Amino acid sequence: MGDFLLSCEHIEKSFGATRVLCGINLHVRPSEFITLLGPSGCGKTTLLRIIAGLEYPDEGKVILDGVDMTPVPPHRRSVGMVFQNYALFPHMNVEANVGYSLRLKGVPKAQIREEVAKALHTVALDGYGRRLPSELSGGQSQRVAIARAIIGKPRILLLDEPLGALDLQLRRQMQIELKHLQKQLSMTFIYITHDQEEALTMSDRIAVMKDGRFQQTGDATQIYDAPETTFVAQFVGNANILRMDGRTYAIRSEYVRMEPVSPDKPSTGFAAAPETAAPDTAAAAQSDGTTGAMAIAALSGSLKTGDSPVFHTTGTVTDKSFAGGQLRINARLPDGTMLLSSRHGIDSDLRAGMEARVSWDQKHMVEVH
Amino acid sequence: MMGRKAQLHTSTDSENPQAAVPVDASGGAATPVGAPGGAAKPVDAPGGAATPATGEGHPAGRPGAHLSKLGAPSSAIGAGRPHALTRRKRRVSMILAAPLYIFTLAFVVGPLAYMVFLSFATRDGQWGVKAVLTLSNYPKMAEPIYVTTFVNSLKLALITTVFVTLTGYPFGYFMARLSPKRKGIAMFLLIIPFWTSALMRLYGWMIVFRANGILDRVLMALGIVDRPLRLLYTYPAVVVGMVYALAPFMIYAVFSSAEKMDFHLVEAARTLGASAPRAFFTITLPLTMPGLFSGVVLTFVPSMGLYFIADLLGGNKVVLVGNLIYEQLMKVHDWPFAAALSVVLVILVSVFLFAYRKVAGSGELEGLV
Repeated sequence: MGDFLLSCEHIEKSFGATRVLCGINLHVRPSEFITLLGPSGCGKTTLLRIIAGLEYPDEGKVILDGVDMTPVPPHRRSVGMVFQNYALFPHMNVEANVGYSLRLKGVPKAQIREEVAKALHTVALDGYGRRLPSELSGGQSQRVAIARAIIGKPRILLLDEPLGALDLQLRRQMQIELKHLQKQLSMTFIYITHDQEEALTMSDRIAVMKDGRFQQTGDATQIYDAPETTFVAQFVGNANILRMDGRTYAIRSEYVRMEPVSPDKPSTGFAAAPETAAPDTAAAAQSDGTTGAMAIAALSGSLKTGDSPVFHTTGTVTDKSFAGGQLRINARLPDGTMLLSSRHGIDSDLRAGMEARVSWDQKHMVEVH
Repeated sequence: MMGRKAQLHTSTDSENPQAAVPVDASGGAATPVGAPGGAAKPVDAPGGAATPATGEGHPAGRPGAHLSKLGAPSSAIGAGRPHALTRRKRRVSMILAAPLYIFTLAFVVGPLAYMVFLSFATRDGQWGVKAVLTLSNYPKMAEPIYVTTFVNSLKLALITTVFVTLTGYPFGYFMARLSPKRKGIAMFLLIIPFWTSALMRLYGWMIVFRANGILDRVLMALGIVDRPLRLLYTYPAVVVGMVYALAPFMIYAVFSSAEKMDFHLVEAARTLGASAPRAFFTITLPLTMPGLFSGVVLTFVPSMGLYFIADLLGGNKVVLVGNLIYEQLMKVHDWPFAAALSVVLVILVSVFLFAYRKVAGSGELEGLV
């Protein structure tokens, strides 16, 4: 286990009758940026607090640098933490806030001043030392909180939704800055968020959490492109879930093509799918009565080019909207499954209530459980 | 049509004085209601001053013109008449605030002035007071017996305050950290004693303290003492009675302060390397200082004058300024001297408060002093 800076081994935690963490195992390498991603109430904050020592696990161990830290109180752990609400000491100015941990250690005043100035420079807040927390904006407060947490050079920095209270633009900027800072300090970051985009942008590794368990751990590509569970596919990739042939598949909305049904025009799909065969030439429909799953109309493939087979079916458009520069069309398939198609760019002829030809390539289907 | 509207509003306005009831005393911030053509040019706080010119300068037809531009009758309430409105608002707010001033004058300033006057008057016969001014009431206090009484009172007040702080602070602090439900229960338990008269409760203490009373019997039964302590009519009994009577005020004051404190601040301190005691002294204590300060004031000031506790639990052994004043007033009937004693007591307490405020440094007093 020498490779790991931090190991959480089989952590169990309950509050009253509620089981918050169910046998969590987490191994963090030095200088890694790992994100715990999950909806609120999934136990991610509790796990962070256990790592910090603010909460004790019912079972399991927290091992830092090969030393069992489970019974060690927070102030002897060398684990820094940035709180969601910043938790700046309101009765101290920025300088005193940032220098707090050094003062506790009895570092000489001149050195503290120097280190504080350096830390404030790191977070681009030079000259803010005399301000009180109440005189800072949200973004500035967050920077002070970070400067305060990193000044003592903790082995690990825990960040509990640190950007949750900032507006979108500032958030994006801070995401980049934080990632940059982490690289620059080559410090281990354990980051909590419920924002999948944030997780995908910043992390070396992501652990997706639900109901006190890890659903999947992996880097951004693995989590996004190869989700292992329905939950990860939906939460991270915002993917469609299809049940076919007794199996469950995830398919992301940008891979789903929808176009008006027009008899005179052979459909090519707006993503110019390599679709050659007509639907009726396809093999038997993948009908599956046992699980109540829908029958996808046909499976066709272009054998000569080795392209991925294409599935198609029809559905009724239920609504169309623009969101984040994307055109999003929802359609209901005959069996009731809702399917979302999204793409950038021009409008589609489809309107709510119209029949749509729905198709996607097999290669974009990911089996999940 | 327009004219009718204006007419309508004018009449509504005058018939509807409630509309003018101010929300704030300055009347400035509330002006937009009556701002002329408020939509055309938003009038902000100083609008009260700026608008009269518009309102007065235009003939009667003008409000109608505003209306036509606005086209929104609802926003034109009292258009063109903000001056009268503002003035009325000010008048109304003065009327609403009047009881406070009258009360203060009648029950605080008046009696205080009368007391000061009395202290310079001359005693006349058995009961009366002669309006002959004299300074002789004050030098009388230099007699050792009176000086000793003052010193004793101060000493008891200080001892009481120290014990009230030591017991009430932790009580209030931990009460603030209880769950909302338990907080309610604790609050309720704290209030219950106030449903009985303070005198009754003191008689209760007398039963506990008297020779072979409850306390003696329990202690002897437990073998802690072998003969009765006979605590009644001793100094410790008085201290216990004082602490008992005044601790709730300290508890409330600390509770209200501690409840407002964000406990994440303590956790942040812990992750920054502060042990629990360090975190308490650097974070919790400074942030609950206003409550502690109020608690000290609420304890110290009354304890200088709570003569009946010393009377009942201390017999005639513990004589305080309060007892002295009571005796001079009710037994000796020397009103001028009683008044002079009271004046000195007020001055003494004020000086102490002032000095304490200087030392404590905090100007915040949770609405006190």
